[in-house]
Amino acid sequence: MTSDGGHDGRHRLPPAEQVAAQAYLPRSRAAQAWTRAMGDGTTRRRRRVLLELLGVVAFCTAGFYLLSEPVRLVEVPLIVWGLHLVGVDAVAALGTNIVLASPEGYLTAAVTPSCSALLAVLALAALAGSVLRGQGWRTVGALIVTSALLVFLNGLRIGASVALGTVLGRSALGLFHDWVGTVANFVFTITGFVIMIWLLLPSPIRAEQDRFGRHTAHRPVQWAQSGLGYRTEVHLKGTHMTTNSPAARLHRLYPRALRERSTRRREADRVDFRVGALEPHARATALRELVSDGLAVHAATLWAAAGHETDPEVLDALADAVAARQWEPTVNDKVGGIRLWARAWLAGRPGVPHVSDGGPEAPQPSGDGLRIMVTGSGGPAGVSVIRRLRQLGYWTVAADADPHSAGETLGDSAVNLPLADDEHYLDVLLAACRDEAVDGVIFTTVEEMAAVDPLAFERARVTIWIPSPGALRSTVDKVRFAKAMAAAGIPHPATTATADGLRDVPGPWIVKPVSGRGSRGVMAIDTESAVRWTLNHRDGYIAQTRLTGREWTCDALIGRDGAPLVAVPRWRDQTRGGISVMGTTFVDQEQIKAVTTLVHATCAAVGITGPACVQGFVDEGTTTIVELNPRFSGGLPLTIASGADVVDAYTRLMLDRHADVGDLTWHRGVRMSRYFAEVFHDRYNRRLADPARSARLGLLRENGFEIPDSDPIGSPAPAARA
Amino acid sequence: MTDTDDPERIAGGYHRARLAPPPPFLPVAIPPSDRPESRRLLLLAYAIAFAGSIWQFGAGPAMAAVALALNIFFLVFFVRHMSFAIAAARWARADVSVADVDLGGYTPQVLVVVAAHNEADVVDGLVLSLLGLRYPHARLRLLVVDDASVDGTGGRLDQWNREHPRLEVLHREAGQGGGKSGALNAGIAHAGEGPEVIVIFDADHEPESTALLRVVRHFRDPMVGAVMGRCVVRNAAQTRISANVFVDYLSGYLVNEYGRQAVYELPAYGGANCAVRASVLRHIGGFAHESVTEDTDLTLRIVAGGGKVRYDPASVDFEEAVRTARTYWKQRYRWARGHQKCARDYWRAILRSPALRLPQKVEALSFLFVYHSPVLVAMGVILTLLRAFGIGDEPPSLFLPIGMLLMVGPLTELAVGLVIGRTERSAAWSLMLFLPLFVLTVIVVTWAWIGGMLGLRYSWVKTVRSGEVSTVVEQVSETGGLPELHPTEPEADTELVIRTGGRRRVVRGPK
Repeated sequence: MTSDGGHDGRHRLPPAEQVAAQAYLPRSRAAQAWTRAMGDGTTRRRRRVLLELLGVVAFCTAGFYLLSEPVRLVEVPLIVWGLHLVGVDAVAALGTNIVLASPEGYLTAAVTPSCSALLAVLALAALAGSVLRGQGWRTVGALIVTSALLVFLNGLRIGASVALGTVLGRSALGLFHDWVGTVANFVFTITGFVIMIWLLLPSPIRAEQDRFGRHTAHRPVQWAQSGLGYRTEVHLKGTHMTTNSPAARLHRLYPRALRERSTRRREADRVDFRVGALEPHARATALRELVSDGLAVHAATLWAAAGHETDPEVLDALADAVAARQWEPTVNDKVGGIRLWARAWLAGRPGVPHVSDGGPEAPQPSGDGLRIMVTGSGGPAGVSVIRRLRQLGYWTVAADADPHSAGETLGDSAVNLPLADDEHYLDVLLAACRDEAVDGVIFTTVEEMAAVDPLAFERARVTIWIPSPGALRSTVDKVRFAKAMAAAGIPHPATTATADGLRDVPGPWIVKPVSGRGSRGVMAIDTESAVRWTLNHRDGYIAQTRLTGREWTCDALIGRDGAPLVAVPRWRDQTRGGISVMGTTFVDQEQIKAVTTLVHATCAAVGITGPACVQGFVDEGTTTIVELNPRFSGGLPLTIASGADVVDAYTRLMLDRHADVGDLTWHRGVRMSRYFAEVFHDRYNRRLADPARSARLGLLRENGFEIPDSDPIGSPAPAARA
Repeated sequence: MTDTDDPERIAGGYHRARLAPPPPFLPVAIPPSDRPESRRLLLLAYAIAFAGSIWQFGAGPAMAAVALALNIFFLVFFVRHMSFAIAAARWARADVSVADVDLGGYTPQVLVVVAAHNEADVVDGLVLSLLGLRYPHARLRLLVVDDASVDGTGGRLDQWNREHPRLEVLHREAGQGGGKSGALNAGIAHAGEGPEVIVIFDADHEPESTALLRVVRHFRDPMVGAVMGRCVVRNAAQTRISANVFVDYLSGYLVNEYGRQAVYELPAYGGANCAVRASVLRHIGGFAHESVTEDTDLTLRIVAGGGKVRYDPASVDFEEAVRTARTYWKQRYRWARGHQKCARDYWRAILRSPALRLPQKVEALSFLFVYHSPVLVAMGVILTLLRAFGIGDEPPSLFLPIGMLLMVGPLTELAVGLVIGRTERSAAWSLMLFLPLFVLTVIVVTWAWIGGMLGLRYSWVKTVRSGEVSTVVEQVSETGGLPELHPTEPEADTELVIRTGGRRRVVRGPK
């Protein structure tokens, strides 16, 4: 009895709930009695295990009694034949006995049932059939090899006893057989067992971990099986996949129908671990291809993907592919499980238009009624995105860490968020998304992208589209970015993070933080000693060769599949605080081609999708990439004004991955000049009118323009005269 | 109250609408045993009974009777090992890779507490792992108890505390007693009444980032009093001993512990990478100060009282195994001594417990006496040797099954562990090395049994760690002494550059 309530620890439900449960589960007495008799889950498992154990015992016992004599009748002549082979001729087989000529005269050595290798072989067969059977035909092969070895070694043991008997007589035979032979038999059995295990364990290239427990499958954490190997750098020999094994060669000899059938059967129960090692986009493609072979063909891999994948894009791809094969017969539980998973996933996927009962047409996403949160609304990119979204008819929620930022006044509503490195950032952001009922979130700062968990947004049914963590790291970390550029052969200034590396980085130099943003912490240094001192005494800084020439920025939009949708290069004619205040889109076709080609290659090299702001220099015909920011740029209005509405395209693709955004084109030579704008609040935080703007609107109305009262501040002047 | 008035929302808590969980079940309070460890009279009685049997019936029949009893005992353990191996072979593979359900959807207030005594070599890895645990920070307290360390562990922890105030440090003076149990109890008392679940790691452990969420999820069930995660050896490459311990753990957790849960619902709480419900722990009187295996002690008190212990094979942390035969001896001696004491203290409570059914009582007793089986093996070996030297007249075959049964069961478990773990095939040869290790175990456990029965003085012996292998700390170069923390480094998901005497090493945070 318990100290607090009196139940014995077996009843999970309080009494009232038990009564309620029984009321909802009307069952006959017979059914209840049957359930009681069968026991709970643990009892049933225990029964299954014990039955299997009894089966093992029955198998060994029956095998021993049925096969004991026939096996010995084979073993004895083989042993005698072996002895003759090595020159011991004074022996002969007589049924299950061996007659030998010893110094004491003729002896009859009885090969008893316990002397036979049968018992050890049966024990191994029982083990193979009970605890090792999951390996299928490999188990059978390993058992055959091991059994043959055991029969041979046991014959050797008996043969040695008999040979000793022919030389030293009865007592030597008995002593050797009883003690040395028995120990040898024990060792042989254990050795045979170990060899069988050796044959059953996977080769290094198929194993999950090496013999020291280090992870060797090279899979991302979420795809790895928990605790099977810890992560470290392991250099394996011959880890390439091979299809030239004896089994594979034999497989090629099968008739085609048999080959395909055996392949299907094998694959249905095998996780293709290689899928997990791919980049997200490639993973999605691979899974779609696997599904196209048939759900039952790669069921284990699809099952693993559904269970462990955390990238929403990949899960979307898998669910869509499964949804497209609903005709396929549900031949096993795994197929049924995958379909159930896909149903649940698609039912909960936000922002994806579903076919309604009213008709086959899915509603096209538009600005009407959709609510988009824009983070970093106080920054130039955030302001530009909010303004454009409002013009497109979206309800915008401006989010910023600064509650008094001007950007927050531009949205239809505003929320205040903690900084991205705050431990509560994600929780507060998700709560704000729920409170504001937003359909999607557009991040305009990289720090925030790095702080979010895409799966948490999936669960909250809020759509986001951000690059993969690896791509983000490659853009934020300038050392990684430099390595990616070098690997892809893209011109990039020489870079080093150490003073020793300066010998390969000619001056003059730009010294900047490894993961800085904008132009914060950037220093132009001319003397090597100063650069060396900085690298030695300040952690997290890099030095690059300072570039000369004309600086440009290119706003690009990359599709989810990695295909470039548009790239708009523009000159940075004038900058203030790292933000372009005057700029012009490129005019020269050759320069456009050179820059956009490099920009596309850069985006591909780091695996970025979505918006990208790439910066670089052109100097005497040489184009060099400096950095890439995976977000909208501060000079975004120029890109939009030139005709490439990347905000519209990005938002539509974010909300519906299959949206048709058409061809994005832009005009050359469009020039932008920026000016400051102000917003005013009183001490009660109420918005005050802008006197200059009020006067301008009054003037426009007097001249016949229709100006709605709700026109957002700073929206372009109305284009049509009433 | 509106949503916006809800302080939980502001704190960033999880506020999904849920049914209120039923109150936790409190098992019958079985306080820690205060019985003396020695059983000298019992030992004397055993000797007299055996000598009397020989005197009465002769050496042959007496030895044969003992051998028969031993064979039956080993047959029971053989069946037990085989049933675990069968259960694991059937289901464990899927359970290791099964998808998590609503991981993170249940996040009670958690206190992670670690007792650290002279652990300067491994404490960096521990702290980095703790800081990298996925769990709402507002519901998680991280507390490391510096248990009178003299190797700089305390100062090192203070440095970490200055960098990351989330990590609390409690310094415990020398001479307060209780060993690990005392340090844990002090830490729990320091944390107060707030925590609902207490999670315990050892100082050489480095949990995976999801370990906490996975181990805590089982407390949704109000019957659950404690949960055990899976410990994996991370330094197998260091020595042959550590390589064998790696295989031993693989089998111990993926087969034995798994089988105990699958077949009997009786896994053991293991002392590290495990969690206990705070209310249950308080109710039954905390960790036993007098026990050197407080984990086994707690398991038995919970299950005998009607509570449940669960095991989660997917909640993983990486620990450092012993590297030498000497440390292996010391560690197994402690385990054997503590476990054997638990067996003497609690076998009656298990038999009397109304919460356990008959099969569970059988299994609980088998678990209790698992550290007695090597002692019986030693007896079997002695009998066999006597027979080999002509003492006794029974056939040798009466004694020989002992050898087979005592080897085949554990060996099968080890093999199944390798198969489930998808370990590369060269690991199979390490099974051969278990034969000498098994002999060593028989000797050490027998020695511990004799020591316990005679009441030889024994106190906690700390296992020395090297800190040379870590899943989170990357040694870029050799360092001398304790490195200094760089004062401006952020959270644990980045790299931490440490400079010592012109040398440099990088501490890489968990991914």
